[in-house]
Amino acid sequence: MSISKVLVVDDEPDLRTISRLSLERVGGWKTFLAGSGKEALEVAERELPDVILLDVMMPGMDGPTTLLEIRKRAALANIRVVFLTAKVQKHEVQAYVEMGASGVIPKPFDPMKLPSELRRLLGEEG
Amino acid sequence: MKPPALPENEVKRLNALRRYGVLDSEAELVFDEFVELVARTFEVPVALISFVDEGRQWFKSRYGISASETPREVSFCGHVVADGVPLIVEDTREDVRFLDNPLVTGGPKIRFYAGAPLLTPEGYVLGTFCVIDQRPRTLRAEQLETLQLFARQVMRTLELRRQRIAAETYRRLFAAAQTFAAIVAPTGEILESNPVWGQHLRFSVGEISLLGWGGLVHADDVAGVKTALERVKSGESTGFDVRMLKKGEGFLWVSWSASHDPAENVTYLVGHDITERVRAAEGAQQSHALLACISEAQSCLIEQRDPGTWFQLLLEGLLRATGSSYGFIGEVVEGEAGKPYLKCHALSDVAWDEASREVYRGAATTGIAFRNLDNLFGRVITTRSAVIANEPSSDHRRGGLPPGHPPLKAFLGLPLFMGDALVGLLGVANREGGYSEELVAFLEPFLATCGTIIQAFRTQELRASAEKALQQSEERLRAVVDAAGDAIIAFDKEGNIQRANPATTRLFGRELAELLKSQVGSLLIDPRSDLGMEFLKHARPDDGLIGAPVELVGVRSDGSRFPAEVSFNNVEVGSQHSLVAVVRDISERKRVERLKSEFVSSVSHELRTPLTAIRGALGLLDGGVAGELAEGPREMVRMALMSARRLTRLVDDILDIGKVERGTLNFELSQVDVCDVAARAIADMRAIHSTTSVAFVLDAPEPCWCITDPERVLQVLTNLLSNAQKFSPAASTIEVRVTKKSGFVVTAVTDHGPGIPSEFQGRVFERFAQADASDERHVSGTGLGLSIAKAIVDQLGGRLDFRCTEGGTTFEFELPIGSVNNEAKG
Repeated sequence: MSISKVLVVDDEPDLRTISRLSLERVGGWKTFLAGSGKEALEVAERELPDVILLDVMMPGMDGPTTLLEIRKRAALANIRVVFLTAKVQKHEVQAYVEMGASGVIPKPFDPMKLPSELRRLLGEEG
Repeated sequence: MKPPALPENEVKRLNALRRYGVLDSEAELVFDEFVELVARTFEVPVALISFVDEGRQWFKSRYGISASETPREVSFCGHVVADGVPLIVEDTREDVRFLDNPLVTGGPKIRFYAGAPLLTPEGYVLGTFCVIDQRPRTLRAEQLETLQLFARQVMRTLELRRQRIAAETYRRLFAAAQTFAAIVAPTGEILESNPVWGQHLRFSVGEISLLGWGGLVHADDVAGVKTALERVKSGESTGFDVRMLKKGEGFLWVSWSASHDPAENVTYLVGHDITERVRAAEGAQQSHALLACISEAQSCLIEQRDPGTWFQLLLEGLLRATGSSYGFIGEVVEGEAGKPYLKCHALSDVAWDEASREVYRGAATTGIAFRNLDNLFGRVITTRSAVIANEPSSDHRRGGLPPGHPPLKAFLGLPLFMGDALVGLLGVANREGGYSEELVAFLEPFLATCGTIIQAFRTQELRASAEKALQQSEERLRAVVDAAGDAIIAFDKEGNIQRANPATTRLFGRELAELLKSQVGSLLIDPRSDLGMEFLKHARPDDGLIGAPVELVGVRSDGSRFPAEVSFNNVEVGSQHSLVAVVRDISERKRVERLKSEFVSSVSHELRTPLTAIRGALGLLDGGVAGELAEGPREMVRMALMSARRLTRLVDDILDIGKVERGTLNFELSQVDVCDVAARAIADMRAIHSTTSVAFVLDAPEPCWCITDPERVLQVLTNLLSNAQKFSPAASTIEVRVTKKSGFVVTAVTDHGPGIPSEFQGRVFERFAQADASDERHVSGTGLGLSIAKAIVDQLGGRLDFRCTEGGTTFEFELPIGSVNNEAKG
């Protein structure tokens, strides 16, 4: 399933901007943004993106909680989720995958390589 | 014939008979005249004065016969002696007792006998006054009385003579006796004295009666004699001892036995010379006093009483034993320039005014020093021998006394030795009669004791000052231990607590008494094993456990726990081996550390977020997302990007160092081929340093598997490579070699840079250590890389080290192939 719409969830506006620039300009995808887990659920239900890039550490509802909420909603159940985090210890990655995440992209990331990294994780090389 | 019986009192009678001394004595006219007178008066042919002893009758006087004695068993007189009454036999042939008596049947053919007993005043019948005839006769009553009268007359005469003899014997005895004898009038006047007085006291009889007791006895005894004589007179006493003066000088001790004769109203005195005995007793008493004094001084020494009292006791004993009125005992001390002086420790107080009293008071506490040796006692020190001066006033050796000092009549100074060393000196004065060599000999054992005691006193002083110093130092130490904020606990190898300082009770919330019953293992536990202090049982001084501080957990009495830093030390006191734990509550330090660590962590995290944005933005610019950049701006964006990457690495390193410090560096173990990790590290380096001319070469001839954390090994390798790259000259190579070596995988990173300056080699793994800190900054880094690498390798159970060779440096780390340290799991 090819990617056309990506939702970026991050409490840092600058990173949302960087991510949007990277995904739109380098990846060529339509990108939506959310500043919190709560907003992410709203945007996702409205736009139904193909992929959600989810920051782990956020005030209020954090990344993993947001993922659980997403999985609770039938409409969103099939949306793939990739975590974006500084916490890249192997056991953490393992835990996220078990929760239903498609992968983890470590921060800081290279915005020029983010789309290709995303494709690699989702098995959509090329 | 009936032989005469023996009277009941025969033995006493015979003794009485002997007292008269009449048996076998010469004929005496007075008795011969008696018998003649009686024979004529009674008109009988024979008259006798007969005494009867054990076996015979012996005639003191006889008239009419020539025999001087006959056997007792045939004697008529024996019957008078036996019966104690007169015997009259008118006709022996009519009397069965006598008819066959040989004196009747043969010569002198006695037909008539009449005998009157010779009675002593005590009633003993000594014999008879008897008359005999050769024809039968009768005796009228008045005739018997006449005979008895003569018998009494004989006895009176004998009695008088006996008394005269006794008197003469006594007189001779009185004169010849080697004892004193005297007869004293009620007034005390000496009526008679025997020659012993003259011989022993050298007074004539005339002088004796002239001088009387008052002039003959020691002045101190005159009153005593008067009283004693009164007591003898009243029967209260039978004797007294007194000093009898000798003419000229001296005296004798005489012990008098006395008895009063009320009839004559005189007192008889017999005395004997007990001078020797008194002297011996006095000597014994002196010796005894001396011994008592020595033993008391010695017991003082043993009981360690105040040394000042030893000398006082010795001096008192010395004065008693020598009969001296004052004296001193002192120590000979070496003064300035080796000049000895006397330090008096005991001195008779002969203070005569306030000033001298002050001086004597000083003696009791510290001793008085006498430095002038130009006098009698000084002489003892300089000659090291005894000085006897019985006439000090004319003695050239004397030094003079201060005005007011009691007069010096006689002086004895004696040196006290310990071995060959002159340690002290004693002096005594004013013994009555002066001092003698005999006295010096007598004092010999005392001197030895004094020497020993002075020596002991010195030792004691030394020991006391040493003890005092020791005590002070101990008090200081104790104060330090008591004041210490750290708990200090001493315990034996079984863990039984022996001692604990006040901080221990505070820290553990336990009373001292409770602590002393506790095991150290109930206070301190090792959180890693939770086995208490079991491990201490096997602790040896060379174990890491002893000496270096370890982090343990302290347990309070309420069960609550606190982090404790504990150093253990071995302590040998005497032969007792103890362990001492110094326990510091590091809760506060831990809290601060945690705060710091959390702070660093959160700051790092906060830094990372904007860094991500910066790097992202720069990356996008560099990637031309915002449009192609001109060469100038593009170069600047690259520069900013490189710095942002460095900053990211620095933040990562600081986060890692924080984890290393907190021990929370996590490891995830798996089967790893270190060659793969090395290849990845090299690839990363090439990617990062794409512009460098340094070449990375991997030398990995075979797969090297081990169980380890690949990400951490990658981190180590990246740090080492990064470090090597920094110091590599352009166009040089960096070789990475991975090999196996007996249970380990060895990875070596070698550069061809300038090497590590020798002065820096010891600090290579310190944090923020950089060799060229003061130089122009050729290369840059965080200064944390090697430190983190070492911490990671250590915790993976390996070892990281370096060596510098000609033209290069090699960092090499080895990792165990099997399993890594348990602590790393987690």
